[in-house]
Order: sequence, then structure tokens, then C-alpha cells
Amino acid sequence: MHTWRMGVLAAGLAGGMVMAQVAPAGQADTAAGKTIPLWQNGAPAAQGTDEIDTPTLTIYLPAGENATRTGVLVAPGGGYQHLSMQKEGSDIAAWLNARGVAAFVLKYRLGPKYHHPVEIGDAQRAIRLVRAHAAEYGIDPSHLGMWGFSAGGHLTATAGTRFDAGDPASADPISRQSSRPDFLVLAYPVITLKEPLAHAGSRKYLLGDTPDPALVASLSAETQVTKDTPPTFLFATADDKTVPVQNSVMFYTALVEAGVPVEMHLFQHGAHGAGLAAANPQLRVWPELLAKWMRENGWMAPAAQ
Amino acid sequence: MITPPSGAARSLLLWPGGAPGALGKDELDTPRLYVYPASGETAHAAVIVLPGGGYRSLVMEKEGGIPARWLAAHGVTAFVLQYRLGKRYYFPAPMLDGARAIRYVRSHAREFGIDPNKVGLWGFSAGGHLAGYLAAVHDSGQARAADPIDRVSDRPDFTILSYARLSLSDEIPRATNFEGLLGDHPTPEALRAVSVDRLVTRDVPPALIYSTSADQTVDSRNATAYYDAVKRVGGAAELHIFEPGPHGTGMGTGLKGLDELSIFPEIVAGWMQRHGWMPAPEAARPVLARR
Repeated sequence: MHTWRMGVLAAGLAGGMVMAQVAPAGQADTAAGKTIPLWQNGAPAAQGTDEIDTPTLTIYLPAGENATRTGVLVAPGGGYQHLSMQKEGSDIAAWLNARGVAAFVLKYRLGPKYHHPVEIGDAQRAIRLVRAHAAEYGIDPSHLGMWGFSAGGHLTATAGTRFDAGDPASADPISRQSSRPDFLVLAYPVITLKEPLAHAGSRKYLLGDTPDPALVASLSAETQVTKDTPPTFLFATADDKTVPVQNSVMFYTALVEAGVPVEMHLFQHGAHGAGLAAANPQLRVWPELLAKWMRENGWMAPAAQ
Repeated sequence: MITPPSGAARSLLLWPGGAPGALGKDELDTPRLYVYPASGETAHAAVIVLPGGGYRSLVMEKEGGIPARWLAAHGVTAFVLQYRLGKRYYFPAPMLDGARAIRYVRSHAREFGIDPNKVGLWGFSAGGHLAGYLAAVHDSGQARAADPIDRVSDRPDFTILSYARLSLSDEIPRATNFEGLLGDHPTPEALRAVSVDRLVTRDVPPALIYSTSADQTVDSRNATAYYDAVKRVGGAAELHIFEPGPHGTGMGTGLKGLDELSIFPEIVAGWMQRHGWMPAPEAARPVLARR
């Protein structure tokens, strides 16, 4: 499959060179794959006009009928420092499209160039943008979920715990839309930014080297759950050496305490970053569990008989 | 009266001469195992199924016979334990019965055609509490005991815990205070002494934990409390909490409007196969060496 790189940033950091690269692969797998900027005239707080300064959405619409008129915003992981655009992006879009669900892969801005609140701002803009174009994409604006992996899971949990109904007075029709996702899918997510269970890299690239303790607390998603947090599906593995599995348990517990419907599958074995785990016989049942949950909730059509 | 689970090949008494502390010789005084042998020549893994019922009754079919027959059909020799119950018997009588069942099966491994190092438990609800307790509190047996059964370990090699009460922490809402096990008005000390999440040690065997978030009888935070406890001591665990489903979903199959849960037996089979506790599916079955 032909893969092209949109842009490569190489930044010298303590400990070595860190590459931030964004590669929208997988167009061969799906009919669509049109990429649009989140803001036509430049993103707020942008420090340039390069690829890394320009958050985008890549639109993947199913070839067949979207019977439940559902869309999912996909947030790839990469520790808030790069983006796993294929395994946690276009591959996910292809999986959703094959099941009749529209997908929108988010390229959000990253550290060390961009810190909070730029990342959540990009995510919220993407949700509002999809809602504003719901009819065009063939989805119901109240059937828009968000699915994030690893640090993208943190971004998703953040989007699910800080949202607003939109600004009805705004001149921009996108800004008038709600930024609340209707459901969350969190795959091996970063949830807390507090010690001892935080993923240090995600915290560093989201908040910088010397983060404000108040921000560390308020961006620990387990502390922000309310009854209005959307229904959630969690997946992780117990022997994940990168993001402690307890991150998922903390979020689960907070959701149960708030009375939010939630499902969680924690497998024993599997490394961090499994994606859909198609090649892993121990894990590959997990997307089927997710499909069942989405079907149960009316966000995916029943499997073809 | 207790209705036996259906389909068992036979039953046997854990203590033919009478159970310790028995108050009589009736059915309720005589804990027993119902045996569901797996067919085939290989040394099978064994699972003792512990039905639930709040330590006051036993759900013998949904949480006994059905999983036992499913296990036997999948090449695992199964047993259903009838343990002693309140209000006639209280703690630790059910625990003694459970421990005895493990020792009995293990010490008769040759007779049952099973591997004595592959003896697991599958407990439901209160039976899941019993399984969790036995996974936390066990010994290696008394080498010089007169009864050969007492010479072997009562540590289960693995546990499957289905909608089990595993924590009596006040942070987790609960409708009852385990009166079936502890009698009316148990003290906080008595509750703590059977709060399994507090009892696990680094010797805890691998666990597969199943629950539903919608369970209003045994809160799903029992499952996460146990999971956290196992992780804390460095043990191995897998956790599946489905969103829908009331208390008592059994194996998750055949439930109207709860089709989502019907995948759970596949998860159990996959987990057992990966650990060598269930033969691989026919197509990929390796030749198993007899021990």
C-alpha cells in the first residue's frame, strides 16, 4: 500500500530526537478519505501554517447504508507527541465503515509545540464540525461517539468530561453546536495525570516540563466525571507496561459512582498499543465486544445474517 | 430441600463419616460433589462449580449443572459442590466444604482422570465469594495427616468469579450484610474477615472476573476491588464487566434481550485454552502429554 507522509517534524529533546509524524494511510482501504482543516482560516493559537500547525479531520463514509446514522470521531494515540494515524486511525475508520458507521479521524496538535488547551480545543472543534455537517455525512447529530487510543483516550475522556452546549449567538454555525460526544470508546487510555499511575510522557507533552498542579488535577479525567459523562466502553490489558491498567479502572469506578452506563474489558495479556489486535489471538475478540455494545445501544446495525 | 443439578454421572460425599461440625445426617448436613466427567483419554483439567444463593440456598441448575455440562462438553471434568448453608451452618462451614472439595478432587486425580495441578473453581454470586475466599486462604496440606485427602493442597489453580461479592468495604453499596454466611447483624470485624479483597496474597491464582454494571444486587465495584487487589500483589487477572444485565446472568447465554452477554462462554473458553486448562478446538488441538 502506498503511504505518503504529510509532514515530518524532528525536534531535539532531552534524551534524543523525537519524531512527530503524521501519515494518513489506508485510503486504499476505504472509498472516502477526504481531509479538511478544522478551521478554514487557520487554527486559533497556531504558531505557523505547516502540517503540525493545522489540525484536520479525515472523513471516511461507509460504502453501504449507515442504518443507525452513527458517526465516530477517532483520536489516535501517541503520547501527545506523535499520532498513530494508521493503526489507531485509518484502520479504525475502515473497521467502522465495514460495519456501516461513519468515521472521522482527528489529527490534533501536539507537544512539545502545543500544550493544553490546544489539544482539547481541536477535539471539541472536530465534534462541533461533524455535528454541523451531520446531514451531509448521513449521521444523526445525537449519534456521534468518540473513540480514542492511549493519549487519544485521554483526549477522548477529556472531551467526555468537559464540554458545552455551544454558543447559540456565534456567527460561525460550527460554534453553535454542542461539543459533548454521545458515547466514548477508550482503548488502553491515559486517564490520570497524577502520580503514581500517570503516563509521564503524555503529561509532559500535554502540559510541559513543569505543569501547574491544578491543571494536573483537573486534567485527570477520573476527577471530572459527572452524571452527564457519556456512556463509555473501556478496553485495556493487565500487563500494559506503558499505561497502567488502573487508569481504566479509575475511570470505570468514577462512572459507576456517577451512574453512567459503562462496560469494561481488561484482558490479561497484551502489550500497549494493540489497536484492533487483529493478529493477536488473545485480544482480537475485543472489537467484537465493542461491536456488540454499540449494537446493543443502537449505534451500529445488527450483524448481517 | 436441595434439588440436585441435572445430568451428573454420580455424586459423592466429601466426608462419608460425617462433616466436621455437622448437626445431623440429613442432606443439608452432608456436603457433596456431583461429578460430570469429560470424555477422552487425556488427563483433563477439573473445575469445581460453586453455585450461588446468598449462602442460604443453591442455584443448582443455572449456576451448577449448566456450567458443569458445558465444561464437560469442552473437555474439562466438572464437579458441582453442594456446600452447607445458613441458617443451619455459618462461617466457616462453607469454606471447610470448599477446601475439602479441592483436596478431594486433587487427591483422587488418578481416579477422576484429571491433572492435580489443574483444579480450578467457578463460583457464582455467593459461590463466587466462596471461590475468592479459597483463592486467598489456603495451605499446602498436612504431610502426615491420617486422611490422605488432608495431605494435599487446597489452593485452587485458577478461579472464574461471576458476579461475586468480593469486597465488604463500606465504599461499595450493598443490600445485605451476608447474613447467610455470618448470621444476623454481623460485626464490622466479621465482615472484614470475609472481605476477600483484603485477604488476597501473592499466592493468589489467576482469575477471570465477570460482572455487569447494571447488577443491583452485587455492585460491579466488587469486581474492580478484587481486580485491584490481585494487581496489587502482582497476580494475574482478566476482567470483563458488561454494561447490561441484572444479577444472576449465569453463563450469559439464553437471556432474552441480553444477547450481548452470550459471548461470555467464548471468553471463558479462550482464557482456559490459553492457559492449558481446556483443550484447544478440534482443528488446532495439540497432542497433550499425560503427566
